Amino acid sequence: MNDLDIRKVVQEELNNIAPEVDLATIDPAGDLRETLDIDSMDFLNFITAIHHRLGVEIPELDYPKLVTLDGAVAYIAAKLGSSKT
Amino acid sequence: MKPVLDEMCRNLAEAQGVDLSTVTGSGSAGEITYADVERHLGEAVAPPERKRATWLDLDAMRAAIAAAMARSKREIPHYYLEHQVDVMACEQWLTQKNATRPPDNRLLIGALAIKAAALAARRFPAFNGFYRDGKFEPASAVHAGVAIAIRSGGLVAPALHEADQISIDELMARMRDLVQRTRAGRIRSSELSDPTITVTSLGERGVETLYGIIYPPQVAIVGFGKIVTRPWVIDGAIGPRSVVTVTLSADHRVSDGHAGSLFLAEIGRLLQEPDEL
Repeated sequence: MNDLDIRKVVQEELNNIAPEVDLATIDPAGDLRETLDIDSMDFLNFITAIHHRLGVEIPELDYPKLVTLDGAVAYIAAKLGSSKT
Repeated sequence: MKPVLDEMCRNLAEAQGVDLSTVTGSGSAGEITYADVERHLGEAVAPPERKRATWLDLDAMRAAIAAAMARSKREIPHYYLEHQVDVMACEQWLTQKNATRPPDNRLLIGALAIKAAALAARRFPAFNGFYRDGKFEPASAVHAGVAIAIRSGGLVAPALHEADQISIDELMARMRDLVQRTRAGRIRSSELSDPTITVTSLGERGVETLYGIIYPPQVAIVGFGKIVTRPWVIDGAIGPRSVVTVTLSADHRVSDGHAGSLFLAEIGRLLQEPDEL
């Protein structure tokens, strides 16, 4: 799974939470909680969905690394990469 | 336009944004009466079961909020109290609990807040129940109305039943289910009328304090603001602590500030011992 595939999954899951936002137009380095107006419950649902779809373990301590679109993609890519070796 | 019985009726319709052409008149010559407008608003407040799939109509929801809040401000003599609570114990407890849990089973601080408010409501019955026909009817169970914001505007507070009785894990699971169903428009109308007290929370963004408006015929609403880091004195020394402002808006026909302050302080005390929640 390359970065583009990961980005697609992340965008799909964010879209489930904030269907009215066009994710192509958001700042990929901006704080998703602000940009998408998501609360802690939405964010937990996002983490849960990523966990189920990609099998990535995301401890709560790592949440700050996933608060931007770019950050989330990089984090998941790194996790998937390290789990292959 | 259909004839309207009197000026009071027209004012109500105007204030609530009711389109009079959609109201059925019950007057002798088909005029619209005050009660007709109220009934029309009432339908928006409690949509019938058959409308379930489509009830997430934001205009109807806005009308329902307008009707309920206008009635509240008209009828309920609110008094307001606030209390700052150190929630570091909750945060540390959650960090420890969640460290070993998969995302499905993780807890949010909002669950602890609801549980604490529900337990306090059981111990202080003057804040849990309904004011109807000129008298207060305490409720035998604590059904916490959880205020849930709808994206793109709108707010509902369906019941988390027996919130004081269930475990924190059960409460969290039900809260997740409630939020999901609410946002999908799959809430039963009974769930909207069941709450005996409302709990509302601003979440992690926004501001520190909110003063809720009581949802009639309930008699109290507890509000949690955003958690902030503040200098705090503990054992004679100043240190940074996570602090949340908890507020109570209560019905002065039923309780007084003295009881309200004890109720609010009890919520703060309960939040110091998350393991007991």
